Amino acid sequence: MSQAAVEHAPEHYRSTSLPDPKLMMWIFLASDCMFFGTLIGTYLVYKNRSLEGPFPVDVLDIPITTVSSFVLLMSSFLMVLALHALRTDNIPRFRLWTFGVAFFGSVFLGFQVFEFSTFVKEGLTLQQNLFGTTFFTLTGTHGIHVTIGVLWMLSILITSYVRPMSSKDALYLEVAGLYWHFVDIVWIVIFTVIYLVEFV
Amino acid sequence: MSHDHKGSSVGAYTFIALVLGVITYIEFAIIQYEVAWLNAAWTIITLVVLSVGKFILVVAFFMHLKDDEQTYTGFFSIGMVFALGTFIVLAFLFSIRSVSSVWARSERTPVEVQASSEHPEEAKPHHELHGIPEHLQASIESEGYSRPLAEIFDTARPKNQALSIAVPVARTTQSFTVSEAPPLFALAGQDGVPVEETPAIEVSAQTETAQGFDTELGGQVYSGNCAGCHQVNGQGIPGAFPPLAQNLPILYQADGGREYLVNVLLYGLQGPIEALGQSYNGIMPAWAQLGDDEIAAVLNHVLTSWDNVTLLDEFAPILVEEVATARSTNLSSAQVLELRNALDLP
Ligand code: HEC
Repeated sequence: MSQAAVEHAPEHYRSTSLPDPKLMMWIFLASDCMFFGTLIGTYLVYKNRSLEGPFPVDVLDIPITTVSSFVLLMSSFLMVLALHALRTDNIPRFRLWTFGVAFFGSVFLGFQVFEFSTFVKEGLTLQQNLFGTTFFTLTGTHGIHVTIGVLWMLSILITSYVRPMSSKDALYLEVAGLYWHFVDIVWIVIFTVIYLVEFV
Repeated sequence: MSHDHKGSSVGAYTFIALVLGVITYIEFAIIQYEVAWLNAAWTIITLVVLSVGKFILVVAFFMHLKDDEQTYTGFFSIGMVFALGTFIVLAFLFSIRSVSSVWARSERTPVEVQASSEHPEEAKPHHELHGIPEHLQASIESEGYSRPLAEIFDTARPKNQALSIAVPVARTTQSFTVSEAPPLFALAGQDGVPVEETPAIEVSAQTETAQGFDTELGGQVYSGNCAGCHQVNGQGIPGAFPPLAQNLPILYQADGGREYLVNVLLYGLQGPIEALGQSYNGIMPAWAQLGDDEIAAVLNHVLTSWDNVTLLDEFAPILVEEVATARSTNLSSAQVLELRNALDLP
């Protein structure tokens, strides 16, 4: 087989002209939708079925969670700014915003660590009651997603110092961005369904 | 489409971020400063609309689905549809009671359900059961009933436990008769007993022979809360969850059994027991969060389902008031176990 044939081989099997990483990410996000859908569904199924406290109204803190939700939303905003900067080859800006995303993500995680430890102090653990089990599973899974996102953003930031990056690399940042925004919209749903509705 | 995304400009991004922030603040404010003119249902609807709005803004503009390839939107939609589907199915599988009772409350009109017997000729001598005095039919209903959407998400919330006495207007009044011997008994519309086909003996709910209790509610409470352990067929799981079929008539007919059953539901049960020759040592949760009417209804449901009623010589439905009375005694599950041990069981 000639060199040229090898290089062209993958092309023959393509059925779309869409970039693979991006397509893969969207398919992954679709599956992650179902993952979170099930976790949120489980939370609702067991809502108000805890036999002992602490109950959601006792522990959930709306003002603090509003702030952390806002922080996560703004990290999404920084994400689009980072992508825009990279596409326009504005590398210093790109680095600044990428750092910003990782930073805001970490702040969000900080809030979550604070929240979890407060809950545990108030007696709510994973094993305490159905609320504890379903709440920690759901928000913990989300937190792990955010953690992965933060690490991902940091690795992109580090990469930008290791090798020169330009608008040609925008696709990879875009894919990371899709993941980041997804984690953000999951939180939008969690914030409403688990936190706000509890206090209606 | 080419990959040289114009994207939205920084200005547009900033605007959207601003809108997202403002929406989040509005959501917060609605909850924090309790907007008086928004009732619970509308508050939930508003919150849902607002967060769906945020969701769409992020997906359309930050994730660029608005101007990106349709294929991506397609994949993502499939995921969303599956997620929502799972969600709805879960809601219906597990909270069917709360969902359907909300609908039922708005639609239900007094229905005269006919009692029937598989052997109408045997049913002639009506066995007179103690009618329920009308003044006793007042039941305790929580104010939650006027807040349908809230109830879908939320069946028993400590916050809302303000109780008011209301006379039920639109409750299904079920009337039936029991034939003398053998006590064949079937409720129209229940398991395999068609409503129309059986030559029914109609008894008005107002007559002395009538027994009023809400079989529909009872069935809903049972499938929503009990069937998971005691199984749909009431057989339980040997060694883990005691059967309610065949077992309950024995308990009911023992001296003090009637009170025991109400207390088991209100306060739970924990400790070694024996039912139909099999030992159990599990935990029956307390169901104090159910309304008095729901507890009465589910007890009447289990006492009359799965041929249980044929094992009863006489049956007077458990009244809402009995549950209300038992509620004030505040027993522990250990005391309930003592009650059971004190029963004179064969
Ligand atoms: C989590 C599983 C579970 C659920 C849900 C549950 N039960 Fe039970 N139930 C038990 C167990 C276990 C026992 C036996 C307790 C023991 O061994 O001391 C029991 C005992 C009972 C008894 C007493 C039986 C006897 O022989 O004394 C009755 C009556 C009963 N349950 C009715 C109900 C009703 C009605 C519901 C729904 C409102 C319900 N249970 C929901 C697990 C459950």
